[in-house]
Amino acid sequence: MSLSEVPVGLEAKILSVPEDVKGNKLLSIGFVPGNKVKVVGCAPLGDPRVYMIMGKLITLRNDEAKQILVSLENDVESLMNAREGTWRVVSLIGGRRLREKLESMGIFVGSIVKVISNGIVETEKGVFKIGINMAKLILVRRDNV
Amino acid sequence: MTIRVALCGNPNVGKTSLFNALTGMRQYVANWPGVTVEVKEGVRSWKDHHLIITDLPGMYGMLATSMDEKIARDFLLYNNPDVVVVVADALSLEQGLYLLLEVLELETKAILVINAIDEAKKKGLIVDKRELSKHLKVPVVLTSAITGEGVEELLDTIISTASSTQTKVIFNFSDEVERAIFQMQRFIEDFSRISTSRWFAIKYLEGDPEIVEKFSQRTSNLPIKAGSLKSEIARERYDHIQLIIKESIASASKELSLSEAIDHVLTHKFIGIPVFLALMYLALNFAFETVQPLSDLLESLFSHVVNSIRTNLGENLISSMLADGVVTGVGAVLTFVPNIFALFLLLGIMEDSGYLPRAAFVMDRIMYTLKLSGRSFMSFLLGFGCSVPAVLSTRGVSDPRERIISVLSVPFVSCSARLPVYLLIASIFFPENRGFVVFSVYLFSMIAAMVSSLILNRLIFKGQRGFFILELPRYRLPTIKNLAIYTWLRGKHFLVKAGTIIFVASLVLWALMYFPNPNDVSQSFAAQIGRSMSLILKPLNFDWRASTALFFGITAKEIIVSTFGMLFKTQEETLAKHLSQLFDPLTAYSFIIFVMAYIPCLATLASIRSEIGTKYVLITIFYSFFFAYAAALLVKLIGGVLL
Repeated sequence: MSLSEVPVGLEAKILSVPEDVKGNKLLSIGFVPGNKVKVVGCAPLGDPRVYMIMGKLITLRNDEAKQILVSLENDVESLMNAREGTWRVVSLIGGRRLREKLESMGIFVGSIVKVISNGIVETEKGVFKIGINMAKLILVRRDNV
Repeated sequence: MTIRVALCGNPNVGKTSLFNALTGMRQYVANWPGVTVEVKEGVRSWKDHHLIITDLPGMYGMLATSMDEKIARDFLLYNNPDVVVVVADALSLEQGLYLLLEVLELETKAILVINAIDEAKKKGLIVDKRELSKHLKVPVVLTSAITGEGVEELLDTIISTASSTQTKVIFNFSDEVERAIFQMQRFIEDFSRISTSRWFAIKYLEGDPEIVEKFSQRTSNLPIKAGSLKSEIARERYDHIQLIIKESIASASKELSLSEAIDHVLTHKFIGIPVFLALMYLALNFAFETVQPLSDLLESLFSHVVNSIRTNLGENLISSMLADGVVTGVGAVLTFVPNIFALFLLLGIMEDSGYLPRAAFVMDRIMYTLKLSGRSFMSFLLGFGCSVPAVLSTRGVSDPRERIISVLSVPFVSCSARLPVYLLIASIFFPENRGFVVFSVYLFSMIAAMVSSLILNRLIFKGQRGFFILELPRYRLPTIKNLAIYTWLRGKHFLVKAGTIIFVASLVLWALMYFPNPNDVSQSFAAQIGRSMSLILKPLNFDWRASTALFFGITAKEIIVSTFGMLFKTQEETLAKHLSQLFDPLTAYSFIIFVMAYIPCLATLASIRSEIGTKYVLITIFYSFFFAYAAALLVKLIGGVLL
């Protein structure tokens, strides 16, 4: 997933930066593959956001952050990128309305979802198709139990 | 012995404070030849040695990604300073050491300075400088620019390093990377004998666009793909740094508690923008209202001087030249002094405290729609007071492209000097809707500035968009010494540069007004220029008197009102009658729109020159003239259809 999708407060590990001048600058500031970056906050209109990297607060526009690929700690993924199998919901990014809507589909923190194919999931309440924009907001972890 | 010292470091490490502590008031600001980036140099005598210290722009690494970084890099690469002092921040040492490793690849003599050591101590951070020095093989000095700790030790170290033969320190990468470097190095040495071939090889592998182009111009069969080891090299440097830090720093707590608390308010999701606007309002108020009595005092002082010249010398060429040319010209600069210094003081406080980048952060999204970044917003806002400080404040904009766009667009924001013109015209032609008319002009001025930014982006810069990577530094309490140096240097810079052009220009304008017939302005060269200008302005229905007033208005917009007075040989009271014959309401409205947008005043032109160069003064003159022309014509056409 890209850095712009990591919700505020979470930490992610950098996988790659873009292959251009911008990337050079990011590398020297410390956005080096393998390093950890934490999302600290966002500006009034949601863009740009502030990141903590090696003790420095750096702001990046979402357009730039989109080009930095990261993975969440402890194998957390967004449902958008989750491959087939069983996953446990660890966090929902969004307000009350989203939570209510998802809850009616049997998706809440701690619940188990089974990804059948891209966008189709099965929960205890049935089988649902989930759009990309909503899937981005659902963070899940592999559930091997 | 003269020792040339280069001071480099990441942005926000307190480099400038350290530079101030080293050199005090013995420094000067110079624009780097050919470009508009400002470089500071200072001198210091220390134990029979003469130190020339250059404060390089902040840089994160040697891969130049901005004009600032390119200048710093080129200075280190081609000017061969005797000693390079790399300043790092004690609380985020990693990035500082990264830069040091890159500097060391140049095989120059280097010193590592760890600044803000007082803050580090408060946080319980202990830096073992002997251990650090052992690993890095360069002298390490711990300093605090605030308390002055370590500054003398640094001076001693500079001198001893300059005369020593520092052992070459080369950081060895992994075998794979080293093999690639060696291969590239041999390749480079084959066709050019440069001593820093290792550095060039590494930069090629890191994909430095300039170096890559340099080599690919000479030959097409390069052995390795450019930039192929970019991530590996960065990764290995940082791994190495992490090892060093583990051995030499005790208890690195990465806490930013106070900063976080303040940030929570200042960059808050909802109140961030209101807080910013409130602070800007206070700043504007201070720069234009609070110090206004001082400006008024200077102004009355100058009119006093003008009067006493007249009474003592009588009405003749000399007295007119002294009174209307010299004193008025110098006065035009000097009455700005309180505002300018107040503004720089405020800018200094915002920059030193760390608020400025946060303001940019908060406003960025809004400005981004204009292809600008949050940095330029403040300049636009300042434009409502006066274009001069607005132009000067673009110093905070780091991207040169964006800076030029801001400088060229800021004068469209209606400054306070234009208000008398609007009021005069509006009260004559639109007595009932006076307020609304003036308000509409202000609104249009903002739209004009935005439209101009978009046009310039499209036209000149083909819509390239800069990226916005900005550090939010820790909050610091600004020190009086730093503020004094900051305000004084910048204010002085403005006075000297703008003063000369205003002085010369006001003498020229005086001559145009005075000759050939001193007693009749309507016969002066200026009026003749006005007449020929009216040929161009004919489609707008501005006659020669309106054109002459506009011509004089170039010195300062308030003068438009007094020129009408001179041309009609009448006082302001009866001016209304004369003017109502000059325009119809629609032409009057298009006239104020023209005044809003056309050629900025001399002081603004002078500051544009001092900021981005003479070329842009010419561009401004033509660009704003056509812009104003188009806007006024548009008003006329649309008004003609509607009415």
